[in-house]
Amino acid sequence: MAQLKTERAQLSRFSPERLRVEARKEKSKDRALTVFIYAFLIVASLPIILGYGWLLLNSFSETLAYGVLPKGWTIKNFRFLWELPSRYYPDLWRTTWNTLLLAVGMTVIMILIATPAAYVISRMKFPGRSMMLAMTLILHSFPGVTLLISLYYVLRSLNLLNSIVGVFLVKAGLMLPLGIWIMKGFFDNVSWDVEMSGLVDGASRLQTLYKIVLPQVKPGIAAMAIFSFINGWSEYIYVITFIQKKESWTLSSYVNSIIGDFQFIDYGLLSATALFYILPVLLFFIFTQKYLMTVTVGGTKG
Amino acid sequence: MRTMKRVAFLAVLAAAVMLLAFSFGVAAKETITIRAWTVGPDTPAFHRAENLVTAGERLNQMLEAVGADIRVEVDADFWTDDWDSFRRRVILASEEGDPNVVPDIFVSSHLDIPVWASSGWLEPLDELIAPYWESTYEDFFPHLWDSVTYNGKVWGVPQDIEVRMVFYRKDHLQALGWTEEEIADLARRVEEKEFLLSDLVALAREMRDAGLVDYPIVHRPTSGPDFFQFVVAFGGDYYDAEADKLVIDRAALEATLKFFADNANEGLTPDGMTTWPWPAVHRAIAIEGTAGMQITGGMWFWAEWQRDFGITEDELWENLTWTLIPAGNEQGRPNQLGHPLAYMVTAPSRHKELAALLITLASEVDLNTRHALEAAKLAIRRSQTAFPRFTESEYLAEAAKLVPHQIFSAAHAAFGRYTSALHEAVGGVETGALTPAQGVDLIIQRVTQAVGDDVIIR
Amino acid sequence: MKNVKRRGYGMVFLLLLPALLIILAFYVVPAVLTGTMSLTNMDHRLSWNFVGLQNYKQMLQDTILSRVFWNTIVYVFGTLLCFNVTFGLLLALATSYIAERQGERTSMFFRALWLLPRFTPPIVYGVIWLWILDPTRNGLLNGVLDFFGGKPVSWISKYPVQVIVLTNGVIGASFGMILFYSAITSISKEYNWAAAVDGAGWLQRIRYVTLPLIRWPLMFVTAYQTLSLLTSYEYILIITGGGPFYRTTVWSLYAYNEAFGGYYASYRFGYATALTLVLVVISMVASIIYWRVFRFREMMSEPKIEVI
Repeated sequence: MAQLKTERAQLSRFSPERLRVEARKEKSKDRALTVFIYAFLIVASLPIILGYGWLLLNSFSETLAYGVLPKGWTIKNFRFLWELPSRYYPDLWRTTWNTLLLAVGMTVIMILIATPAAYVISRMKFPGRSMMLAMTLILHSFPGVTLLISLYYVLRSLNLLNSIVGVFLVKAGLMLPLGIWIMKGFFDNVSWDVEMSGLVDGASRLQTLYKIVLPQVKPGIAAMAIFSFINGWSEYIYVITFIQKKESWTLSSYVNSIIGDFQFIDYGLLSATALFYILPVLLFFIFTQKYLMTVTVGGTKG
Repeated sequence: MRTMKRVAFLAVLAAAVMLLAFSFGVAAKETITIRAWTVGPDTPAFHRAENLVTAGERLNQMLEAVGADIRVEVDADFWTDDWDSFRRRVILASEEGDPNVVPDIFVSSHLDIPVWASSGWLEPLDELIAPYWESTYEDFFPHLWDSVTYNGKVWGVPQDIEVRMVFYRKDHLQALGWTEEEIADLARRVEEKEFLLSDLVALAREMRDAGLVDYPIVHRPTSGPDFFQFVVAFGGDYYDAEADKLVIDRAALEATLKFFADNANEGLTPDGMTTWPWPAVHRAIAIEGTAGMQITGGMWFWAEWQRDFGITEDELWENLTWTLIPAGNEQGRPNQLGHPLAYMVTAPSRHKELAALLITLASEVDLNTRHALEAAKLAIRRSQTAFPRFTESEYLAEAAKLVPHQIFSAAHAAFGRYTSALHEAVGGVETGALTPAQGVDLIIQRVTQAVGDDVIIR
Repeated sequence: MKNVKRRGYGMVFLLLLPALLIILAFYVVPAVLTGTMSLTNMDHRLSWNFVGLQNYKQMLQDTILSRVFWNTIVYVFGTLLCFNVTFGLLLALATSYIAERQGERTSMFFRALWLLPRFTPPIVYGVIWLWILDPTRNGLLNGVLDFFGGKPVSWISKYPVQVIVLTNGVIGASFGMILFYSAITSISKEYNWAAAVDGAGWLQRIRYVTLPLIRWPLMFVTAYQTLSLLTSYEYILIITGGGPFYRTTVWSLYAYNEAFGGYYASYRFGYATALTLVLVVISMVASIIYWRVFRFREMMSEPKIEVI
């Protein structure tokens, strides 16, 4: 009897009346929260929205009045697409190709090299394992620019100066530690059991890696590929320093030349070129971003 | 007289060409590639590279006329990113010394000569240009050779020269009641020390009090040798050419820093002047007129204002006038700084004589004039001032009047450090972080860090 | 048994080899070279003149250096706390909330928006901020001020430290945002349902369920971004150039200026690399502290079964 009473008391928590009132309260609380969150996001994103909006407006206008309002709508800023800004600029499409080469090259290296390395670090015990991961953090503390001179020596001795290959090898080297860490997070997520069952069934370690584990970390590989591609596409300082030949320029050197030494800036041309540079990688991100969603660095404890 | 020189020149040229053709054998058609690295970074200065290319084409025409089976191809690069990147490129390539990587010709600032020559990266030009001295190089303004001489040798051929000046907004002067004659007379008054820096400051105060401008006095935000103009205006010096040592003149430096500090304190110059982005400075003086005077202007702004901001030359003539940097006191003198660029031949080059020949051809009057017109630079050759296309440019003719008072940056390897230190000090006193006396101490500290005791301190 | 182990190690070695080679050639070797350079007085001649610890002695006499040190501390921790971690987290929470309630699209819009600064060439990013902060009426902020009748403010010279924190933070927040967002969205649905049934609202859910579960990404981002910030100087160089008289010069920028900066760069590579090495030591100390405090070692042990 007492049990029934408590049960009924508990059930009355879910009486239709009660539920309706609760639902209404939830809804208004919900709405207030939603409004607040939207407001926060919009206000916080204002500088970005306005800043890039300005860039967009600039690329389509002749000049800006009061520095803000575009005057004279024109697409002549986009003439760089079919006409060189001057004789001393390399062909735009060749430059774009170089940029693509750099980004893709770096991505391929990262995938091919970070994945097995991360697998090994995740799965196998060997001396120096945690030391290697510690190195990741430590190496990251060298500012890129001070490595410039030393990298120059290394590239020169490998005869890789002046080439895109040299640059993406350098970039890959600098980004591999992070890539390995991220991939390790993914490998950690693959349960032992699945892999163990494969091994028990007689497959070699490599076969289990290939047939069973890899498909499970596909999102991770995708995520790393995206990071690498974006990073490679935007690379600037190494290209500027190590690549002399105009034929091997990438878009970042191109945009840099348009700006010059920052005294006189043709804002229209600059904005148009910058948009041309940013757009591909932005689109790339939008189409692949659902893979980035799954990036973890391990550690959400069960 | 001129035609005789011309004939002599062509004769020497033909001889040189035949010598070349002979030395390379007349059997196969051979192409020699000469590479050059040139820099703007201002975009209108592309003729620095273009003139070399045209020189190559003219040389090929002569070779064809002579019937030689050899051609020259000039592969000239023109960089418009920034000085920093260009110099870094040169250093990294030159240190290696590989003739396949290092080009044959550099076109760069004369300030690089002390550094690059002492590193052994350049070839002394005295003997290379001797054959063409009478026909071509004697025509150059003599004082230009000072800027490319280092350690008693000539390392570069002057490529262009400019003047720097103070720009004034005519419309504001007129609003203050100046007549056309008074405005036109200003240049003379500055030259004859009737209008001093103190008068300039008074003018700025008038503009401010009349509410005409937001920023009565603006100057360059980034580092540059322009600030030494003020040191000279206050009677100081910065280089002893005989002893080849930098000079730190305490009194003049302190007066200079005090000048900038006072301007900032009175609100005539924005106290954050050194953090302004360049385009804002250009906009203020040339387009919007919110600035009264730009005291560290350069003549090449004229070309860039038209090219990048789309102002017409008429508008510029209507709104702007300029003078030398006025003297600051009794000991000082009105002056302006010139920053010539020069052609240089590299030490690892395999075709040094050919490079010198191309440089000579690229220094022809018409080629140099087209560069001067496009990029708003001055004549480097006396005959240029009589050249029709040159004389047609009213701007160049007017600007050339400032030439007699020209000073150059010091031909010393550590001069860049000195320049940066002075700029730092100016920034410091303007924001109030330093007093002028502390600023001088900072400069001394920086310069001695660079050269140790090898400096004269007065 | 021994055979198996050796084969196991062999395979480890093989799979690790390419990574080790590349990291060795393009990271470790240059790092070591750079360290060696700090014992020389190398300049533009790129000559290895060993001078021992002279560079380090010179650092002790450098009067600007203490100011630079404090600038660096303020900058790194300011940006880290305000933006990289906090803002990154807030953005991730906000966008995940929207993803839950409103749908993917809006959420993705904001995330793409915040990633935009990362893809932009640094100079272009600098140009945009220089426009926003322009000291004349043409800039965004001053234009707005002018509209309301105010006088233009020279933002960069008046609030230099805030400017560098803000401009770097906007970029930095996106790293945390991405990592946190994926961590949040990968928390198993069951946790959320359980919390909802218990009557927890969204805010309470965040506090008691989400945050504890993303402890590890939080710590990783804090540690990693500390190092990133310690070595970042590009945006500061472009936007404030080191600030009105060293107000915003941070350690890495100071090192850069010694090597490549100034009107005519001094190319003091020896001194610059010595400065860098001190920075590396500081970073290593910070890493070790983080390692201990956050107990990263625990992450290194038996691979955990993660919640997906």
